[in-house]
Amino acid sequence: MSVLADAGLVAAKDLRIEARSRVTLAQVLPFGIIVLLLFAFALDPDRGRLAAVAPGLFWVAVMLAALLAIGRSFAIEQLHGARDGLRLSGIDGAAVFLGKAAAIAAQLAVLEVLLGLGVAALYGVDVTSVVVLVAAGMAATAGLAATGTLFGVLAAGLRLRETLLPLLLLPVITPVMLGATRAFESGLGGDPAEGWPWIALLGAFAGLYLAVGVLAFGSLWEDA
Amino acid sequence: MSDVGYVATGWAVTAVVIAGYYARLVVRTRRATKSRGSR
Amino acid sequence: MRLLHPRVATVLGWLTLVSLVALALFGLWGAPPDEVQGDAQRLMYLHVPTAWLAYLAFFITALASALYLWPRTRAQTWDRMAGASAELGVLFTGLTLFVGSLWGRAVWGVWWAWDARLVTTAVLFFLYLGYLALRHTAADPVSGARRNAVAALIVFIDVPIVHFSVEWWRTLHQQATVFNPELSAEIGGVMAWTLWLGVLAFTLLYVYLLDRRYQLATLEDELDADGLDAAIVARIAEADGTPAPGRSEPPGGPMTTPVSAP
Repeated sequence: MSVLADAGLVAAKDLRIEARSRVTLAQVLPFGIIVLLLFAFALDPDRGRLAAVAPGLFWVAVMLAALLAIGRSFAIEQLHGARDGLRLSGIDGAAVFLGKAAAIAAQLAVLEVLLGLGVAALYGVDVTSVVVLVAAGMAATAGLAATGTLFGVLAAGLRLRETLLPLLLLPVITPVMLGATRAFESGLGGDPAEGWPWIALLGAFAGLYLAVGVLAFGSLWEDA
Repeated sequence: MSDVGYVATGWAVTAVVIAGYYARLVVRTRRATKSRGSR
Repeated sequence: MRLLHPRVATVLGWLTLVSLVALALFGLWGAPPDEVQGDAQRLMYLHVPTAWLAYLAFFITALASALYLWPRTRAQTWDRMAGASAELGVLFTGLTLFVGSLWGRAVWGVWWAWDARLVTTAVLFFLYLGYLALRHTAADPVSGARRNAVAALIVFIDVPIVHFSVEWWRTLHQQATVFNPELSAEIGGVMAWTLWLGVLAFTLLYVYLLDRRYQLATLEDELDADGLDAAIVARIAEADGTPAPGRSEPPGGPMTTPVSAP
């Protein structure tokens, strides 16, 4: 079967597990909203700062939530011999990578929409360009999912996974943080035209790490 | 702190850190060589 | 066992020491104070060399990792070298940030500035800290080495992206971020010589320390392998009911694969 079809199988499997366990919805999403609330407590809504920093806070909340989602994506493989089953299935490593990344991206997308609504409601932002927001969101999410899946497999199965994954992943995705925040600033009360160069950067980042993942994930997966 | 203070701090800390790291290497190497030697 | 012939290493060690002392003499006394920055500029003779080493060390880590992954050149040597160089890299990146912060405080009155080079160096520090943390997790030599090598390359290719995006970010804000004292004013005469001496001295230091650190890594790997063998022998002897041969449990190193009792 082709790589993409296999990737679809893997993604469907992960999403089906999520649909049944509802961990992302019931645990990761509330975590994200609590982070937004904490920021509000820290920054005092009455001083009118929140709207100005809303893009940055949104993406910080998304990144923290992504850590949980990625950890979860590999935690489910540790149970019931799932990892061995997946390896024995003969599915190509690249397909596993793309499938897992796609599932993570899908979950992140849902999180982002819901957290975005939360930000709009709690912090009070005005939207200048939905297109910029959607494009930036997609490109940033692709980059997050790709790097997250790569580091997720590196850290998978290690006793120190919970502390290692953030330390590994967060420094690497600083360009995503920069680009996504700047793009969102342009789309939320700024000049949308300024957002497109950043979206291009996000796209390049995502493309690069998707390529790395397709090439490298297979051998890492075998050893994990 | 005066300029001299910053310069002195910078050079002193650098020297101590590098010397300390080197010393640690030496100690660990000696320990490892001894352990290997007993085999 | 070692990257350099022992006698070469000894000579190198002494050369390094001599050049570092010479650097201190010139940097702190022989070279004149800067017209604009005064004595504070003397921190440059440390900051530039440590920054150079920081990036050199990580380049070597990436190169060694690539050599490990390339089938024709695959050897455990490269993995050890990558690890040794990364440790030195973290050390010198930390020093770069520290000295740079002091220098910034002395000259501009701030402990930190959000310009591309400083921020990239800070991110570099954490990128490789994560890499070292990964190296310290238990794994068998071959799959662990492959995992380390892939991680090193993932991290390495990120560095230019980080630099570019931060630079772009800062220029957009049109801050007065012309914080390039080491490149701006013409440094002539003794000051230039001292700077080059600094780069040379620290490069010698890097090579010397890399060799020593590599040697230690080899020794510790062999200790672990021996320890594993001994533990296996002991377990088999236990299972057979015969007393184990007289060998004490070896000291555990940071790379010990835990062998737990049933």
